[in-house]
Amino acid sequence: MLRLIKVELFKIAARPRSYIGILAITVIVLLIHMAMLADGKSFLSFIFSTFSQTFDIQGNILNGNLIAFIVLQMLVMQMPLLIAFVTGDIISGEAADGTLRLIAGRPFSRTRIYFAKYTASAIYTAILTIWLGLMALLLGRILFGSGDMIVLKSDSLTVIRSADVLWRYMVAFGIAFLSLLLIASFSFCISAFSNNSITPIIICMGTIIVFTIIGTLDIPFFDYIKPFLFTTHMIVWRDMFYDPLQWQDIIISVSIIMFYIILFTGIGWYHFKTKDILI
Amino acid sequence: MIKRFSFSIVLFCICCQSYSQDAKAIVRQCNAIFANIKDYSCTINLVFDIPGLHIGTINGKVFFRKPNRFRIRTKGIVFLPRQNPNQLPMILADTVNFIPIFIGKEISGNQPVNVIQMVPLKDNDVVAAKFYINAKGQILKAQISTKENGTSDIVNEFDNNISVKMPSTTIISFDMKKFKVPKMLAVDINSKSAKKGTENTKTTGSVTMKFSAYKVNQYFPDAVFSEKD
Repeated sequence: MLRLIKVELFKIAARPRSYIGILAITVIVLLIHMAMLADGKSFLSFIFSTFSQTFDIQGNILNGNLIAFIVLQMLVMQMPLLIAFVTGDIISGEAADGTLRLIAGRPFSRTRIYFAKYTASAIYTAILTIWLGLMALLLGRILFGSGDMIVLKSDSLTVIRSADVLWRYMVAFGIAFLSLLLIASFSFCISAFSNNSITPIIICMGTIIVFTIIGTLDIPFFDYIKPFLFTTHMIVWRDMFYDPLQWQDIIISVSIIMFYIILFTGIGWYHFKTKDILI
Repeated sequence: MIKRFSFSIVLFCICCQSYSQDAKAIVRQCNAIFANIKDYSCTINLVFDIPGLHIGTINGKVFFRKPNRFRIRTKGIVFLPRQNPNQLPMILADTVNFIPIFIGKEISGNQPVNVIQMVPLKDNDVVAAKFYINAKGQILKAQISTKENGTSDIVNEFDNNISVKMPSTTIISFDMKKFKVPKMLAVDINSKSAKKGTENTKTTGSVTMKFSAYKVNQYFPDAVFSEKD
């Protein structure tokens, strides 16, 4: 099994598209950092204008912790695309190339093949999440320093003390990884059904865009649908930065994410096991 | 008729004069407490109750030096009210720019208080200041209206066990606008909407300052007012 995983990881590493995600994260994060270095203070003074009439705001507001939070918020839409771009191609790409039949002919069970590919996808997702964390948080702290963190919401601000920031980020990155693993599982599941690599990526992105639009619209009718959409729960990492922490909501959302991961992985695995691999 | 009218005016002037005399005596008693204090430092504990802002309590240190140098030093981000707690004795001591008027007697916090209105004589940022002063000359309550920062209520509590006649707790309350920024600007996309009935509609905030470990007229360098935290 370990050998199979290594082979799958090598295949991912050999594809140029696997580096698009890392490159995109690097470029986006660097651009945001540069913009914040240039105009961050005026951006924040506009946001804080309501409070600055009444208060004298002291302390290093524009620090790495706030910048990392802004970066993560901005990458909510892009990260799933970058993940699906690679994981949606893992089975269907090989089916399109005709190499899937070759692997299926080897003395490995389809279950082992499927889960080796899935584990490689999960490792790729973890690498991308860690890279995002390093670029957003570590580079942000190097450039802007550390300290207490201000969490921006459209209707409120939360100040988290510096001693509380790092562990919250660690848990938030853990939840973000699970959310991205859900996308990886979804695109991987569709990949098991498809014989060309574009279809899973398009279906995956289309679904995320539609669900996100439904989630953004404040129409009462959608309130009944929103709890069932996985995109509603994928942003629960953000709840780690609210005060007081709503652990119950976080646990429920993480459980729903886990349920979807198991569901999509199970559907994909079942189909792959019984699939006719003709090409 | 003219005689009666003149008599009324004279009576009114005498009343005003006597009320002003009363007010001046009360203000003098109040100023006597603060007159001996050239500078002080103490520890502070800040508790915030501000609509749209979730911030925990924070500890710090307060430094004050006459005439008006004041600084609260804390480690980390803090939202400090623009009203300086020492503004109250400073207004009372300012006989050039303000004139005290005795308004009456009231009961505040189970004790009788004298209500004094400080009226600005010249163009001033403070447009009105009302003080509630007890028999010991302590300011228990004040209402300050300024051009820059609106109206704020200040309530002082005194601990009889400490020798320094400075407040042990000061609560500053103020009106403020509801905090709202566009979702795109706060990058608050796809967030869960607030549950119905839980939206924050409060527009009055307060900051509670608890002072302890006063060190009065004990040397500290001027640098504390300008050093970076």
